[in-house]
Amino acid sequence: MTDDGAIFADLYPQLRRFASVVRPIEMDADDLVQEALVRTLSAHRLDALDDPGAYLRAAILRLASNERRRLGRRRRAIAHLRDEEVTAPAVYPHDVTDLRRLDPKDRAAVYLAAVEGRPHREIGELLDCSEEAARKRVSRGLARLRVEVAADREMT
Amino acid sequence: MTVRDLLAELTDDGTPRGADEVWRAAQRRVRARRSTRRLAGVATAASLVAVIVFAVTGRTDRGPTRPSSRHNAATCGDSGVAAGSVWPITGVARTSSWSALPDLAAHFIAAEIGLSPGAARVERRRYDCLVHVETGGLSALVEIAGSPGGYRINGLNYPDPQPDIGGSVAVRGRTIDLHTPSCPGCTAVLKIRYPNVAAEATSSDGGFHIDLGKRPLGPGTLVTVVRNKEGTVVRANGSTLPAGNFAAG
Repeated sequence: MTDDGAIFADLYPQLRRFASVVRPIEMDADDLVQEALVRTLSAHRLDALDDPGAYLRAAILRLASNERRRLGRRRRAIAHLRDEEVTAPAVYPHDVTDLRRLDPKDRAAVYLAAVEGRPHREIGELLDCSEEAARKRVSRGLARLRVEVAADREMT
Repeated sequence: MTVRDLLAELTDDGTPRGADEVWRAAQRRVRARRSTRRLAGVATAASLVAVIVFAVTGRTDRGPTRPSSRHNAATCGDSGVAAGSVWPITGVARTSSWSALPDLAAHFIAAEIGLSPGAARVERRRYDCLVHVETGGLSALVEIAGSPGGYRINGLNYPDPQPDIGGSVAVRGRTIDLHTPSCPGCTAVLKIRYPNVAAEATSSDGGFHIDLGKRPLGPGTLVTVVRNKEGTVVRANGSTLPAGNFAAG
C-alpha cells in the first residue's frame, strides 16, 4: 500500500463511523467513504493535504447532503406520480430510523460534539459555518433527540 | 437512551468492508475516471479540429449535400424528382449551392440556346426559383427547382415577358406532334429528350411530326429555339414532359 493508502487505512475507522452517522437511510456507509475518497484522490494526493481526515469528512458530509436532497426529490416525484401526500419527517424523532431522517449536518454536529468531543470551532470549520452556527446545530440536534438537557449536562 | 447510545446504534452499521477493499475500489474508479477524461479530451480535440476544418473549407466528406426540405423551403423548393430536367444537370452545371443558380442559368442559355448571358437575378418562389438573365436588351427566364443532389431546370422562356403565342404539343405512343408559332424566314429547332430516346428536328413553319422509333420511357423534356434568317434567336421555350401520353396547347 502506498503512503496515501497507509494514511487512509489509519483514517478509515473514524471515517466509516462518521459516514454511518451522516449517511442517508438508502446509502451504504462504505459506499459513501469510497465515493468521498474517489472525489478526493481525483484532485489531490492525501499526503499533500494538511488534514486529510478533515478533508475526507467534509467530502463525506457534502456527499451525504447532496444524496439526501437527491433522494428527497425522487421521493417527492414518486409521491407526485402516485398522487400521494409527501409526508414530512417527524419533528421529534424517537428512534434511530427517525434520527437518520435528520439533516446530515445536524447529525454530524451532534456526533462530532457528543461522541468525538470536538470543539464547536472545529465543527464549524467542518460544516463550513461559524462557531456559533455550529453550536446552534448541536443544540438543535440534541433537542430533536429529546435528550437535550441530559446531553447538555454530559457535554458541558 | 442517551445521545451516545443513539449514535452508537448509528455507527453500528453492519460489517465494514475494510480499508483495503475500499482503497482498492477507489483506486480502480480513480483510474477509470482519469481514463475517461483522457478519452473525452481526445474526442473534444477531434471535434474541434473537425469544426475548424469545416469552417475553413466549408465542406465535409459526405459529398454533395442533398437539399433538405427546410433548405429548399428557403431557396427553391424540392419536388423530390430528379428526372425530367430541361437540361441535365451534370458536370459544371451540377450544383447544390443556391448562390450558384445565376451561373447555372447563364451557362444553360449560352450552351443550349446560344444566347450571351449578362447580369442575372434570382426570384424566389414557394416551389422553385425564377432566374432572370439579361441577354442584350431582352431577358430570359429560367425556372429552376431543387431536386435530390442539386437543382434541375424546369422551364425556359425567351424573351421574358413572353406574350401568349399559342402552340401545342401531343405525345402519343412513340410519335410527337408539336406546333410552335414561327415567323417568315425563321427556322425552328426542336430537341426532344427522354431517358431512352432523343430526337432533334428542324422546321421552317413551326410544325413538327416526329417518330421517335420507340416508345419513350419516363418523363422527358423539350426545347424549341426559333431563329430568324440572320441566325439570331427570336424565341426559345423549354419545358418538361410527363411520362406517357400527353397533350397540351
